[in-house]
Amino acid sequence: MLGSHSLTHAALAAVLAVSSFSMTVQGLFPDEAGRIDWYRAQIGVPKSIVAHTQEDRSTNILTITDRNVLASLNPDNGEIAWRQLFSPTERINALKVRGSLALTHSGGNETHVRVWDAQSGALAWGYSQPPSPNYQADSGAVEFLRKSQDVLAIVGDSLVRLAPNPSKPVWELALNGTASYKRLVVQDNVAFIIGDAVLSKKQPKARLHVVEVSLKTGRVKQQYDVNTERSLGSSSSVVLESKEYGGYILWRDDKNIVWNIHRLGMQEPMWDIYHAKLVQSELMPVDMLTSTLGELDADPGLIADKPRFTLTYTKDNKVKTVVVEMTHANDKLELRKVVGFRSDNAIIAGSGGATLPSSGASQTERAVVAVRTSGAVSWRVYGSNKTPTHSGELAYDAATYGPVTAASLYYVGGDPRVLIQTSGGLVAALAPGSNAPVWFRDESLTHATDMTFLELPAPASSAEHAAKATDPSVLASPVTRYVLRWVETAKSLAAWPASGFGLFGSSSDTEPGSGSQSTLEALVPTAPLTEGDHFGFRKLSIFGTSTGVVAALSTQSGARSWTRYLADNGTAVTVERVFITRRSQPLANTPSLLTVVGRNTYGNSVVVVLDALTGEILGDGGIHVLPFNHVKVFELPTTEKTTEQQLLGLATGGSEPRLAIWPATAEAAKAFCALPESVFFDLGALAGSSQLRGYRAECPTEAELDPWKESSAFLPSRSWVFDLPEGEVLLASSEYHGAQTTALLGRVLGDRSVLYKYINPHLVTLASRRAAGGIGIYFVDRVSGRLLYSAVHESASVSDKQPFLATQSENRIIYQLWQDSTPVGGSTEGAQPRSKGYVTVVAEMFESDKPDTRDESKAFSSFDLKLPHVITTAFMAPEPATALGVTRTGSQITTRDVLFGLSSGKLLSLPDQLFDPRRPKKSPTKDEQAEGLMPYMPSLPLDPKRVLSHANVVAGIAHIKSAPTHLESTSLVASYGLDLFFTRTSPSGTFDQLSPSFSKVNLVVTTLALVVGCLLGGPMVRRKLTNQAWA
Amino acid sequence: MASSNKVYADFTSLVGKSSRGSKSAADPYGYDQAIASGSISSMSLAHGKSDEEGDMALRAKKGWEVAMGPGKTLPMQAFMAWMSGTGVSIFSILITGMILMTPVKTIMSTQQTFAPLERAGKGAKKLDLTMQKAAFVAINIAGLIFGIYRLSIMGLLPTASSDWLSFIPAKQFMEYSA
Repeated sequence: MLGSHSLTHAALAAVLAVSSFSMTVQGLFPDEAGRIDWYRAQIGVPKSIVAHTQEDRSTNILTITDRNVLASLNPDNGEIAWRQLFSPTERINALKVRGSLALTHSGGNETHVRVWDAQSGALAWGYSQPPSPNYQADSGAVEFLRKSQDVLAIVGDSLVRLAPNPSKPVWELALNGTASYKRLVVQDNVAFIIGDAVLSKKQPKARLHVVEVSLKTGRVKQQYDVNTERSLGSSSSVVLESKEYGGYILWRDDKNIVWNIHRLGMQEPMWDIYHAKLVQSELMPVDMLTSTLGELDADPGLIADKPRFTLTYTKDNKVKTVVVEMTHANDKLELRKVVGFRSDNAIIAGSGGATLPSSGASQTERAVVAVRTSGAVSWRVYGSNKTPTHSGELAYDAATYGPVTAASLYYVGGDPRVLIQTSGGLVAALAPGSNAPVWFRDESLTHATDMTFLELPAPASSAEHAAKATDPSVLASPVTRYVLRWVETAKSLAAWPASGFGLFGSSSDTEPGSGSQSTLEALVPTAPLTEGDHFGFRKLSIFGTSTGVVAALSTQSGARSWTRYLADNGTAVTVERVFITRRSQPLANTPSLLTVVGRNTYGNSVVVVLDALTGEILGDGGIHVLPFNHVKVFELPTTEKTTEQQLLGLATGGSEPRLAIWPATAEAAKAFCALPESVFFDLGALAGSSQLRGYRAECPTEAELDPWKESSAFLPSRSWVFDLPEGEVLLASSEYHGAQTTALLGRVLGDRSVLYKYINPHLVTLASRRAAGGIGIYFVDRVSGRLLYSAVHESASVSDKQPFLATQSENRIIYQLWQDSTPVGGSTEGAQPRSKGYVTVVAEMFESDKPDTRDESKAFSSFDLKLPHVITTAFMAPEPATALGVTRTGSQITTRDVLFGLSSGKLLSLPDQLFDPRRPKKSPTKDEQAEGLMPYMPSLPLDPKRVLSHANVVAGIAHIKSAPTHLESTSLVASYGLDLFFTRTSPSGTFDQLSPSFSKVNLVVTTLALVVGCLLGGPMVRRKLTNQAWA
Repeated sequence: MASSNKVYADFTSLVGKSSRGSKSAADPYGYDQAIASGSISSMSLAHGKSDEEGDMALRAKKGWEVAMGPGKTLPMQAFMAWMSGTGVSIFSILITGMILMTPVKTIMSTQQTFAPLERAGKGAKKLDLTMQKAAFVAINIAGLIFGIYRLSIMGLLPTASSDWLSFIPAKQFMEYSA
């Protein structure tokens, strides 16, 4: 009886053990593209939006953005129909749309004009103008010619007429730097170019320079100055274009109530005078003096006739806007009021609506929208009537994405859609009759400056939640909590058979699926994500952006948990760094803290402390504007005692830097001074300087710490200066990120001896431009300022297009450079073999070049006079990288993968072993074989199987970050820049997880069969033994 | 001791059986009931003192044979070890385990191995086999050393610095920098 009892126990234990597996094997498939990763294509914040209606009356929204993307959006859901990414250095200046063609003007002195098929995004043709020494900054404009496919463009210092597929322009007119030309007005036979004339001492007042050019020959017909005292784009001048009546410049002189109207090409008289009172009768001279003029249409050339503009004035503390249209009556210019309305805190925009080529502009497409931005966002669309044709409201909290800064209007099947943009980077389409957006795009993260991972508390069982309410002491000990969990598991076991043994159960992951952010997701996330999962896959990734938005996203699905817009005095705070300064314990009442450090418009340092789980701004002051501006922020290895908040150090620049701390309390200052180790810091490698300075924080006496204020700071002493060799200029620097964990302190060689790793968390890598050409690399210790290693890449260069990238992990530094050793002048005598391309260099540091030689001391001090033994090697990179990173796991037992963000939009992960500088260049010896070293191959493989982003094109990867999960094998990888791509990877395979093909059913059935076998076989065997004993 | 008793017990049973069983066959030729069932004294009576010395010498000689026994298996073990190679595989591990375990077990049972030779019977004079035992142990230790040598060439002995790498504590950093 006793035996069968213990068997029953064993069976129960087996069942319990099996049931506990059911939690550990969800969603761990290594190759589940789209399930373990998520991807979001982004475009940036639009600079100009043109709705483009095609022949079949379908509308597309064409936009150029501040991230140099030309994109076409689906007007119904905001999804990207197509996008074209321009080089980060080639700014898109203008977008024009005619019929099925889109025209862009991009670049600076070296200008590019491109014509695109608006439907497909395919490049129809393009033209590039080489740089010119006479180029005037900001000059440039582009326009289609009428009744022709030709394009007129101001490129560099020239005006060119381009026919499709030009090898060279039809004609080119050198402008000789006479003005900064920004406007083109095209007539049938002539074109006017208007620019801000170059100011001189003789003529210090702003004036416009107008050039009339014959379209046929490209000859200058006339050129003259108009003394407007206003520059182009000022709030007191507009340029009006009309096919029939020609072009006009209209402006109001300072301290003058009348408008001056100059007809382009007409010098006698230079201008007419017009009284605004004729347009709006209630205008009084005093209102006129503060009135502003504004252009309405993003692409005025589209509205061929009746050009229009707005007049905005304040009367009786009410802001009013009048839409004024230009017409001609009896060959005399006339300005006519179309509609007037109240416009307090409103943004006025016209339907930049592209017209159908056949039908011309209809009245609805000439509508104007006014979007009120203070309080609730409400909008009204006006036709020619004082009563709005459509109106609507948006339930929107400006604390999430900031106030509305721009609007535009387009039509979908006769229905207006109002596109709003906020200063935080939200783009939303509104329709009448709904207070939720039709669709929205969160483009704030295209301006992400920093990101950090927040570990979410593991899901607590309902028993634990119950215990928290009744008897919190149970939760204090891990043993009682474990018992609590077992009790609950045992209870749920009773319901297990009823649920079909979990075979038909649904996944516990209830987060919304990834994919395009569109109509599915609510604009304001309803419930913030507060619980993680058992494996640490679900964390919060908290972004800080230069547009003032701090946003928390789930690493598992990309769903937004919360967003917060930080503004100081109405302008966005440029967030630079985000730090988790307190990690809350599971079920604890103290929240995790997020400290955001940024700058306001005046450059002052701004610190904001938020609840990391909900995004709530904590503290009385909310946003702390500090009376200094920092050049560097870093974490300090101590916490303030009462709040358990980690200290941050904010170093200011200048010749006598100061070190302020956050929280700025006396207690924090005391905690800082109680640090056992001395704190050193450098002020970062300021591009263009030729030295790096190191400082050591000094503590005053304790009495001086007491009245510690936000303006208080320590006075650090300068401990070293690292001067670059004569003529060298700093370009970039790289350092370790976060605490470094090392599982093995040495490299085991083939003969079982050890090369000990040189691990120095203070190491900074500097890249400098040498006077004689080439790039110098310096490994500098940040504590002592000592040079640990240096290298010269004579044929390398660093530029905006070919940046210096580096990543540091353990004792290895990997960096990438552009190298072109093609001899200048073509002489190859005595030169190295020609090589051109991206080079990935690896430097690995060891304590000694001899195995088994180690500094035996228990502590590492940078003031020890030991230098590392550095082994380096270089590889040819398969493609230019835009970002480098390394995977991180909990204990770093798993091998690392080196992550490359490639310019082709791939996130490539290559094993660490490939980058081993000890890879033998000859045939490997026995020891090298035993060590597992691969023979050296000069080029790194671009293995499609190792592309983590698989089919996704992850454009513009600028940063790659990695975070460990609770599984040692698995590491989270996040890349951001333009697009977002999050995934998880297991560099050494999923050795700590059951394979997806593991059959739990088989395990249960086998165990049960064995238990039944034991129960049946036991008595039989016992009977047989008894019989044998009697025999 | 026990074994010598058992020998006598068998003979006694023989005697008992024959006396009891009337149906038993006639005694074979040369069989002497008196000798077969006789005591040690009758045995000793039957042999002279010189006989006892010769027996001792014989046992000492036998003792040397037993002591040298493991030495004969050493070449065989070496051959097996060579055949199984120095790689770490199930076969080489098994053989190395055998090479290591056999000498240890044999050394542990040294007393039992030599016990029958030390005393011919109950109350008989004890033969001094210390030298033989020492040789026996020494040869087995040689076998053990061979086993350990084999472990070392297989790389299973923690003699290299890499074997202790995981136990080295990471260095404390004296300074903090940012």
